[in-house]
Amino acid sequence: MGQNICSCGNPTMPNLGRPDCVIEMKALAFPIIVPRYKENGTRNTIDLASATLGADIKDLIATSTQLLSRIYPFPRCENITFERTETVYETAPSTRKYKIAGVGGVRTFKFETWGKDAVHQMLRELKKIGCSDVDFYLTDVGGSIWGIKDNELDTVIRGYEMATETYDSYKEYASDTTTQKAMISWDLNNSECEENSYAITSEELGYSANTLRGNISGNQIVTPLSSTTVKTEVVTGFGSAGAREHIVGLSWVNITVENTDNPAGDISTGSVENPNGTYTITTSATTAGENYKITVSDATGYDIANGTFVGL
Amino acid sequence: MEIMYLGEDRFNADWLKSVTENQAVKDLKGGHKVNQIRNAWKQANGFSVPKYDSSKKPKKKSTKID
Repeated sequence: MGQNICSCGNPTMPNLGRPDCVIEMKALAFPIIVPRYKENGTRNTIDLASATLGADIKDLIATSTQLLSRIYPFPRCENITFERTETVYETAPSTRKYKIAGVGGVRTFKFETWGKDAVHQMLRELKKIGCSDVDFYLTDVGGSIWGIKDNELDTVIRGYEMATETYDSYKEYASDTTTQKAMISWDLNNSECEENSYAITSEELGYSANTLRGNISGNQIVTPLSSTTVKTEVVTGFGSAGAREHIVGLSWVNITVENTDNPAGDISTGSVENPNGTYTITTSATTAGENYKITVSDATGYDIANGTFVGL
Repeated sequence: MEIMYLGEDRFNADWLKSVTENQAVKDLKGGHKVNQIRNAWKQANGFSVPKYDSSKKPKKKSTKID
């Protein structure tokens, strides 16, 4: 809800002409969550002046980008609405109305994910949103990404500010006539200036923003086998209760083993995958009783948590 | 976790008890000598193994009988 601009000493009036060709926002496809601030405390933005804009945005999804600098696309959404609460007025005894500034006009962004995109594991990920302040970009069905340029002359775009305290997500179970759904909603920050929205078009990206996909969370089950071998089973949270879904095809270049008590770099010397998703890693000799971590990085499409073990 | 020592090599005895000897060789051969793995597996599973610290006895000198 942007505020009116009233500067009486320097009055402004609207020029409501427009060129023939303008970029219209189409129906929304899905939001992309972005932490409001990076690790170093600066605001997360996208550099519009980059010659590799499309690749830059794809890189922002990869785990090679720091956690708080990444973007987190939702799956394709359904039933997206952007409702607005009524403007609030006070009515004078004369029956004239006065608009109450800063009250009402709050936008609530509501949408659903359906079917496979609404399984409980997805809900578990959705519960991670809301702990810290986040913004969100919007993608439309035309493949554009929408965000805010605080100033028309800016060369960066940022996400819309979420009123994080309003974030909610829950499951709607399947019935005889409906499929399962995840219901998600949040409010736009009351001070956000929607009128400063701009699009990065699919032409500028070099691809449709609708093709952006989030990573899958992964975990490791680590068993040290000896002073020079450690086994890690790399799994997602999906699968059945008894049969985990494994992450296959990782190679040694993805894997590092480091002593966290006395860091001295990667001590892994090789890895073999057998059976699928289970990796036996050879290392230089570990020190008994000291703590080690296994990092699996650059596994495209996955965000795998570090595994830990105590050296034998 | 039960740790087992064979010379300077250390093994997870619990894990060795849970796998076959061949599986242990398969998983550990990148980091240890095969004989060492077989001995570790045997020791973990209660089989007797040769002692590593026993010093070799010198061969008896042959006594020439004239």
